[in-house]
Amino acid sequence: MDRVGIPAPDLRARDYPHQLSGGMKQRIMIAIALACRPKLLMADEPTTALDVTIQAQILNLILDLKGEFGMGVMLITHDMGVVAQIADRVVVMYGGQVVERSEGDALFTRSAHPYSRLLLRSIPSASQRQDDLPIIKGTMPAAGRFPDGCRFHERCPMAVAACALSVPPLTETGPAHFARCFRTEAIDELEALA
Amino acid sequence: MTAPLLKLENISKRFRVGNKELAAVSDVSLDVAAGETLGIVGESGCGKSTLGRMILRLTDPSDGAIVFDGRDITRLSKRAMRPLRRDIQIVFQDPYASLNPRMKVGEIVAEPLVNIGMKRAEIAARVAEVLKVVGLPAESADRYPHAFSGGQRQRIGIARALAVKPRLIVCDEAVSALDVSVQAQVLTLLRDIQRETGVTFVFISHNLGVVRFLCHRIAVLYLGRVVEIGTEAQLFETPQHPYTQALLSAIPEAGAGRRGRIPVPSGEIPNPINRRRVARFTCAVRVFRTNAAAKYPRLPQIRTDRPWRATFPGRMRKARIEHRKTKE
Repeated sequence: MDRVGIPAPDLRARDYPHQLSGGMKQRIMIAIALACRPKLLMADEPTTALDVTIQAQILNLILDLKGEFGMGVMLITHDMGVVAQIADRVVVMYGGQVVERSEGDALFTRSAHPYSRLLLRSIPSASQRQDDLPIIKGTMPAAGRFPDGCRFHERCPMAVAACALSVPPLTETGPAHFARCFRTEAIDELEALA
Repeated sequence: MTAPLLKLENISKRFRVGNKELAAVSDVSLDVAAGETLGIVGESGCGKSTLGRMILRLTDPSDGAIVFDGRDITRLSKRAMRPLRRDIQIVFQDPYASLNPRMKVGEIVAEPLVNIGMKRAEIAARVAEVLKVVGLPAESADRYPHAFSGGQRQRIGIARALAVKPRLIVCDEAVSALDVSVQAQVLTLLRDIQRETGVTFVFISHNLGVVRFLCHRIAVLYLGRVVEIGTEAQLFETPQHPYTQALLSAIPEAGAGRRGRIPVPSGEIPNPINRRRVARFTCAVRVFRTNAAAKYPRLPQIRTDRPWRATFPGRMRKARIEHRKTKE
């Protein structure tokens, strides 16, 4: 408990969960997960319910412990900001499939799948004012009701006839960078279309 | 300069919790001009929602005055508030809990119209009109909320608020429960509605990115007090208060070259109960934004005359926020 940053752990160990704040509860969860010195820590939306300052503390804690224990971390999140802060490698999923896989900052500097690229651009930024947010038309289809071909093609501004016919394979678009898209070479046209 | 549409004068709200007192909102003064979007940001428990509820008189303030369109509405009775309900509407956070599952969408959107005594024929036309504005098909009126996705439900909530043509809409975390792609749709919708109708928004959110996109001016709340207020550009480009700076630096932003630790003060936001024993954000800088532009000459009335010091009792001392120490 001391290692995950709980003040006065000897006293706090006697508390019940309802006596702890949200950030402290999440620290306890991490302490439970770390108690057996795992080689792999799986964290499923570990900070989604937390305020930004507490979120930053928890993410820092995960980074520190990862270095200290030499464990792998698999972080599941919908927050691209958290990904940018934490991840060495990133897998983007859409409709139950991996649509893009990249190393380091490649996802942010040159995302190769239209879904990833549109998603990144539709996040309102606090570091710069945007006049418009690009909108991905439609909604995510319910599981089991995915269209034939590329599962994103109905919402994709770049879709061509081939996209509805067969599922594109994950193809290499750069060093250790893969995208599931027939039109990934034309990805820069997206700016004009969206 | 025209008079502000909404004016909060030294508003406070205290709740009793057992035999203790929780100061949810302390001495907040704000102006909101017609056609403007004022953002209110802060973390859980800072008093944002209480402030929003007081504007609608869903919660009564302990002290201070709420002036809407030049009229003091702080002590109006429920009956006297009724005509004003037409002018002030709210959109809630949870699109699943805020729509009655046993009412059809058309009835939900029509309810405020019935309340103001509109004729039935006119109601149907107005319902169709606002559903169109929020981008829902006309046949939505005959369906129940469960048939809609989260983003669509939030559109229904917005349609209900718009139906009576209000002059002010309080949006309390109106896009927080939505996925980013849906959030972008709803934010764009809100902005377009404002451009077309000139409606005024008070936009309460913990998400600074969302606030930056939508708001003209932003107030930062910390433990029930406005610690900084400024235009969108001022607040994000040159934040003055250490708490605003800490909030901005704690946001993980999507982008390259950001991997690594995030600078953030240690400790947690103190419990607002029995505030006299609790530290506010310990700060050396207590410069509050004064908007020099003549448009908003009135400054927020914030106590700046004494330093806020950490005075945690006993074992909580370690958890003290040590962002910057005030010289005693």
